[in-house]
Amino acid sequence: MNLADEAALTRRLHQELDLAEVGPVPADAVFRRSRVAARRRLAGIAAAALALAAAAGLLAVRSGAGHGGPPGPHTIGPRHGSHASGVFASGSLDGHRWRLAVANLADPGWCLPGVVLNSANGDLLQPGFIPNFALGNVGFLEPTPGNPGPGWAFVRLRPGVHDVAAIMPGGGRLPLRVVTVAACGQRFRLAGFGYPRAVLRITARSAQGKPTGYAPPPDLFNPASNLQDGQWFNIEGATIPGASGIVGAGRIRGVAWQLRVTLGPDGECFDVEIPPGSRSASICGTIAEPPRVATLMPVPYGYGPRRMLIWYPGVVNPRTSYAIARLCGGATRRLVPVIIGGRTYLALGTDRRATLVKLTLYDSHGRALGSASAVTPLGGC
Amino acid sequence: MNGQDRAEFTEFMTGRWPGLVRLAYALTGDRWLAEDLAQAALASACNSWRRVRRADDPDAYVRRILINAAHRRFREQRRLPAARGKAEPEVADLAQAAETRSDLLAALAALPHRQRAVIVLRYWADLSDAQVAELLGCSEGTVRSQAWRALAKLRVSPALTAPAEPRPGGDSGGAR
Repeated sequence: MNLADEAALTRRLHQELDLAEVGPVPADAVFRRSRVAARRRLAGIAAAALALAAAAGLLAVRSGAGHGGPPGPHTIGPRHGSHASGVFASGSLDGHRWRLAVANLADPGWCLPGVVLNSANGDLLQPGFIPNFALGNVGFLEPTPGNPGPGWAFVRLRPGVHDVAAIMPGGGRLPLRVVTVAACGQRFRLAGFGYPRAVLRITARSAQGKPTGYAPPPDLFNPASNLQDGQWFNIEGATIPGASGIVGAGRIRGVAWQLRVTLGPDGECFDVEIPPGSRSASICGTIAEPPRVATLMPVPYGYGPRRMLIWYPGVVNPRTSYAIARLCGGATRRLVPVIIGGRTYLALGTDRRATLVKLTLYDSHGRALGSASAVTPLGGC
Repeated sequence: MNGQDRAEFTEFMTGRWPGLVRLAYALTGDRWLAEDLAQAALASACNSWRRVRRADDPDAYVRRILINAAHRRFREQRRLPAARGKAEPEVADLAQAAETRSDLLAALAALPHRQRAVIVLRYWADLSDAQVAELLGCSEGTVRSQAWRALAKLRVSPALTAPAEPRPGGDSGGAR
């Protein structure tokens, strides 16, 4: 090509680019990324405010408070014996045993079926199937954000769907065993697997013998992509019915707040609203089975100059009738849990001068169910 | 984002997706990266949709996000081998991308990022020098001088001195 003629360059660029094949727009991946980015921005603001407060000596932050990011979930006390009976896949990756199982993520008497990896990292299961899609809901978990490494996936299958396999980069084919497990009065046909780096495609044959499959977005396995966020990535089009409700509300030194929990495709998200109705700080995690005592996710938020507010929302033992929180300085607060989506939540809001020191849970007879002291990383005096 | 905003944004996204992917492909020469950048740009626009919608030129807004993101990735990739101990998959991906990209895209990839952006926006997106300058945050004179330098390099690029072969059907070496 002679590029002396700029028109030739124009023609050649159009030849190359206009004919390049482009797949359909991955709308759900875009919406998910936008949600992740928004939450990270909010969490970043909160973490920056926390760092400022700590640097100024305003807040006692213990070691292990994270690496600049927002604090993660903190489980207090031993968990329920969680030998899930609904195991549908297991194996070993990088020398570590793993298993995927169906578990009830709600309290006894309620139902919220989900898939758990090693009894943690829950992902809600869709009650039905996506129209015109043989595979049902598909989930991928990349548990180490920013770090290439193993991941896990599961797929739910319609009746009769068979010959299921995962196609790995390089063309390797991993046949998958389909297992039927029951939970919450429903039966789920599931296949699961772990993978060292990435998955190209999941293939299967429908009940009528027609080939079908699902190709996950390639950037799900790109460590630079913000799709790798330690949360389950559910198939595009999946609409898990989410539960949402207010866990607590109140005022801290005149500032009105409320805290909302949402269970859905992003996992379990706690949104602090200041003022009520507008989201100000947020944190999401995978969904854990109900704990024996409490699983708290501290949410810090810088409010105005030199002002640090902290919330301690979380899931508590389903038998909890009320809880007593002892704060730095000796003050106590009585907290009453609420049930949302079949899970028992409570939330404490405080400021940096009155961080949580000890939380004790009581049943309806006033008997202590358990307590936890030194609620790291944002507790203690 | 309420239902109406979501519907409006979905329509916008559906219409712009092919163009954004192709623009990113021209800027990076890598299909995977192009789709990732287009997704990231649209996700950013989604978060600011009310502002984007009110902008004089929403297309320019999203293009600017994409070009800036491509520039950041370009700088990160230059640092990548030193920053990471295990860069084998990325190297393999880049090698594969280099094999499948055309001689024209390979020649573009050899240009500095800003010159590449000027060429693509001027000669493929058919934007005026003023529009390119606004997108890149520079003067029209800079656009013209960058274009002149880029054309001079392309004229002597070994990949482009041979007569062009027709490429019916386009490049099929994509990742999907």
